[in-house]
Amino acid sequence: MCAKAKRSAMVREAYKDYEANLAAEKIVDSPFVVQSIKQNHPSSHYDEASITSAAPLGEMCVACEIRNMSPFNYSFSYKTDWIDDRVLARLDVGDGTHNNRVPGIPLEETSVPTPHIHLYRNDGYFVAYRIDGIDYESDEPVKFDYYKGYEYLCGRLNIGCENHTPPAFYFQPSGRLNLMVSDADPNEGVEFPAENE
Amino acid sequence: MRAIFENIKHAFGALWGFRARGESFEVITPFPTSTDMYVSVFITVRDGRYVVTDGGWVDKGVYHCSLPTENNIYNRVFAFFEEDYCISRTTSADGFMYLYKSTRDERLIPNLVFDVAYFISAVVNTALVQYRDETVRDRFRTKAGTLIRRHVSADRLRFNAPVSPLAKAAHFGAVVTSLQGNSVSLVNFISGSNYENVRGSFAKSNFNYDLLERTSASRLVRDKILLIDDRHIAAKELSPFIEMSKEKNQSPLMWSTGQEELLERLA
Repeated sequence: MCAKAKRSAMVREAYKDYEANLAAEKIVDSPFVVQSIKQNHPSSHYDEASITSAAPLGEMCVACEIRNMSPFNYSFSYKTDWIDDRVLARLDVGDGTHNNRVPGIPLEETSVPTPHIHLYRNDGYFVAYRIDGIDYESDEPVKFDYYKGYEYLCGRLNIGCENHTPPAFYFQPSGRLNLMVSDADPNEGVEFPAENE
Repeated sequence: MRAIFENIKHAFGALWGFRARGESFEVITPFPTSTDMYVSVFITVRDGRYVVTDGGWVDKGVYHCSLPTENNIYNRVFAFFEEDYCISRTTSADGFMYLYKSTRDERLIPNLVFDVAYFISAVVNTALVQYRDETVRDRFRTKAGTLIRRHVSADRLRFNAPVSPLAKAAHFGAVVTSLQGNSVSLVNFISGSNYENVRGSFAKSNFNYDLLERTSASRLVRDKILLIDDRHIAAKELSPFIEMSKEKNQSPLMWSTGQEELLERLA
């Protein structure tokens, strides 16, 4: 079966190390503050915070990209220099439904709305998974802001702080207001002139 | 046999998803894109009319692709699907293109969902085909457009447009009206992956500026800017073109060094 999805030979060969690293207790620099405009992508903000662990896989960090200043449109990536693709896991929140074009996944399970987390499967494919406990038919997914996202990510990947407090996260774009405006309804405020019926 | 068929029907059916979105709702459809996504449409009721839209997602780049609207072949493909599926367009206050269909007959909503979703899938997937060399140029336009959009309010900003309806023949990458509303600054995006393409891009820009000079609309122009993508071509190779543009009272700015000056000039 032909599949276009990303596949990492390195993760496949060292899958036990990958699994152990995900499960191991990790410490992140806290607070994690996102404030820089992303290079080559001026509509996004991007920053990283380093991570240490007793079971390290290269130099690790958590990265956050916030798109269009929206608290509801962002990604958190768990990154390392251990693999070429850099990303070990990624939480995607915002617009767009992922299609898992990976061998062996039944068609009805290929459609994965946001929020979802990408993790490597034991054969090295990077697969998107739904998040337990979210009602995907409600407006919960479009209200899953970056505080909830960071809390989820830290819980899922066993990331904590030096002093056992929950890891803190702030978005402080320089010189701009951070309005918690929900962009839930894209049709809101747009005029749709009637067509010839 | 029947069980296999039932499984196929079930699996296809299970791809449909629903999501509450304020006054509207999102329908996740089984129509795929080659960027590993499933197409969504958005349904809103306006005065008893059901409107099915793309939520502006095609233009906003949500499907991880920007449309190569510089390319004539692609534009014909887009126009073909637009006509074939009777799609309408409108523009939001913040400048994004919305694609939609509407009906007063509730029974026909599924037809509209089918048309709009298939249309989105078609125009996104055909946009991924490599049409000659234009993707480098297209990416630069998107990048430059995003920068300008972030700093210039939408009511002062038009992309790929003439200065006035009276001078329609001359088109410019961005037309920015001054705050007082009595003059415009023009920006042409100069890009290409190799020397020949960049040269062609300069030629096209120059042609449009020359055309404009022959019309009365040229009196409105405050600034004739060239925004030059210098990431693929060494600046010294471009010097003959840059010198010529300066002689013609154009303002060449390099992407790597001139972004601040660009924004100052458009302020």
